[in-house]
Amino acid sequence: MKRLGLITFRKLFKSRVFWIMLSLYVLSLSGMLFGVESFVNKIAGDASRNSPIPIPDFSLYQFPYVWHNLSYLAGFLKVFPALILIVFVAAEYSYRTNRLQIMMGLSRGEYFVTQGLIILALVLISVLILAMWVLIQGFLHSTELSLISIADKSYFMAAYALEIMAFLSFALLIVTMLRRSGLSIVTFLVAYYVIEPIIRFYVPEVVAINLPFKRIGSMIDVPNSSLMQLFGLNFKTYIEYQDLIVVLLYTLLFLGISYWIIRKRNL
Amino acid sequence: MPSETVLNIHGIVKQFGKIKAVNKLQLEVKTAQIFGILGPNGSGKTTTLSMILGLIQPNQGSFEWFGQPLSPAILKRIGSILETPLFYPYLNAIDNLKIIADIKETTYDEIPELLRMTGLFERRHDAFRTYSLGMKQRLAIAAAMIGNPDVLILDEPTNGLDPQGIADIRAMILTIAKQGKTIILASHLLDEVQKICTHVAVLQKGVCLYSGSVEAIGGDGVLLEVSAEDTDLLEKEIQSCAWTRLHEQRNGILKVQLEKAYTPADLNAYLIEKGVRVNHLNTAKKSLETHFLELLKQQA
Repeated sequence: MKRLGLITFRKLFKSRVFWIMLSLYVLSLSGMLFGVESFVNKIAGDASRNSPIPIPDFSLYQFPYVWHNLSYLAGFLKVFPALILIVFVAAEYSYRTNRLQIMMGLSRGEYFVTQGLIILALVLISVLILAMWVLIQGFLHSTELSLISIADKSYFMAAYALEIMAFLSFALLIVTMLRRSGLSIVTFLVAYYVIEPIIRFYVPEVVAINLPFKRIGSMIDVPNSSLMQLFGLNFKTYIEYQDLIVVLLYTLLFLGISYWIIRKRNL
Repeated sequence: MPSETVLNIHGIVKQFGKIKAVNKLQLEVKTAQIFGILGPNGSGKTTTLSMILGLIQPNQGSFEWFGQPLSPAILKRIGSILETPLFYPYLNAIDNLKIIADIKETTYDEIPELLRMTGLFERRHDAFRTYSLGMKQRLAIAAAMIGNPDVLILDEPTNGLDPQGIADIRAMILTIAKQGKTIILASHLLDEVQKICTHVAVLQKGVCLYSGSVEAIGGDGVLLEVSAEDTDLLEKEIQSCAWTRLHEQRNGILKVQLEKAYTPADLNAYLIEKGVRVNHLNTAKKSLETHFLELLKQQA
């Protein structure tokens, strides 16, 4: 495993393209997690001026709610790591280094694991960035700092990790099938933003909520802030086991099919 | 050295749509042979190599390396270059070779040595994409040599190189062959196979037309060009000699085929004895080339 890690590390971390894409991701994510409160408060402030009932000022960064709030927001940028993954896996096909590695004695299973390691690296980076901002903002803005209030709801991080993992597994499946970078990116984005939403519109509710992107996205529901409650909306403030299991199954399915293709394909 | 079988191919077939790229190919390669796979472009050389390296699956037939079916463990004992050199363009020579050393589960210790051997040591910190074609090909040879493999597979190793590059690569192959490694070399260049290889298989349209030693492909011994001041006498003596055969006569130059056991020196001694003064005696360049063309003609 250490050997496969070294191989992946060398391919990825010595590439300038990787660092540029990663920096863009980390900067966007950090910018969003850092600035979201003042943005939301500005909107709430503007709305409050014209509203008959006063909208209370509130903080997104209070422990323990900050875990939920920020992991929900971070989920919006999961397209970034998916694109990084697609670019790097497609590069193996265009440089034909996949061929090189197999003929030098890497088994197809091991080759698949090196791709899985790229996913893990991206998940880990995402989780670390998110955790960093949650802790920074939480400590700066929380009025109550007991261990319970800090640690409570930190399990949202696990759901976030699974969300990214599942999403990237789907990206891996797409790029493993299509092999070309541009084609894979377009197909992936269209599947995510267009095809699944359209399907959701036409199929019965019970099917719609179980479609992969829907299920992945709804693990972490919209945070139930005082603002939302004001509008009479009620979202779930916890993670359902059922969601976790379904998303995990989807992840295994995507990875399983990718592995099967890699095993069977003529190079 | 015992001539142990390295590779045994039993009637492999690979079909792409309606075309049989490789058709019931039967081959045996033994230790320390330099085995040439000769054939025009599209004759199935690369397809054959891709199959024996596990990159594509044969439709029929089987093959064994060292008497065993192919596995990653066996691939680690084989160094190979297929068509164009494949590397990560943004990585330098050292990092590219380190990745291969990791795949082969060997140390990085031999990397500087291999870079020196292939003349890339000075450029080892430059990205692969900045290399000339000759350098890329030499890096591919260095990569193939990592982990001290028992077998080297080279597919068109001199393709697209300038004369100096070709000479460098051939010298390198012969140096490697002297270490007792088995080499399988695919090429469409007769000259190359004749210069380097000990054994050859001739492929056309996926069918093996000939397989055996390069010497034996000449068949009936050496072909010579001879001329003398007295052409008529020369012709008469050659025709009356029991172990020569006259092929043709053109502009006073006779093409003479010797029987197997005889050498050009024998012919020279014989002619002196008969009072023929030879003013030109030359080994004709033919054997493989003429045979190759003959083989192809027979098929067509």
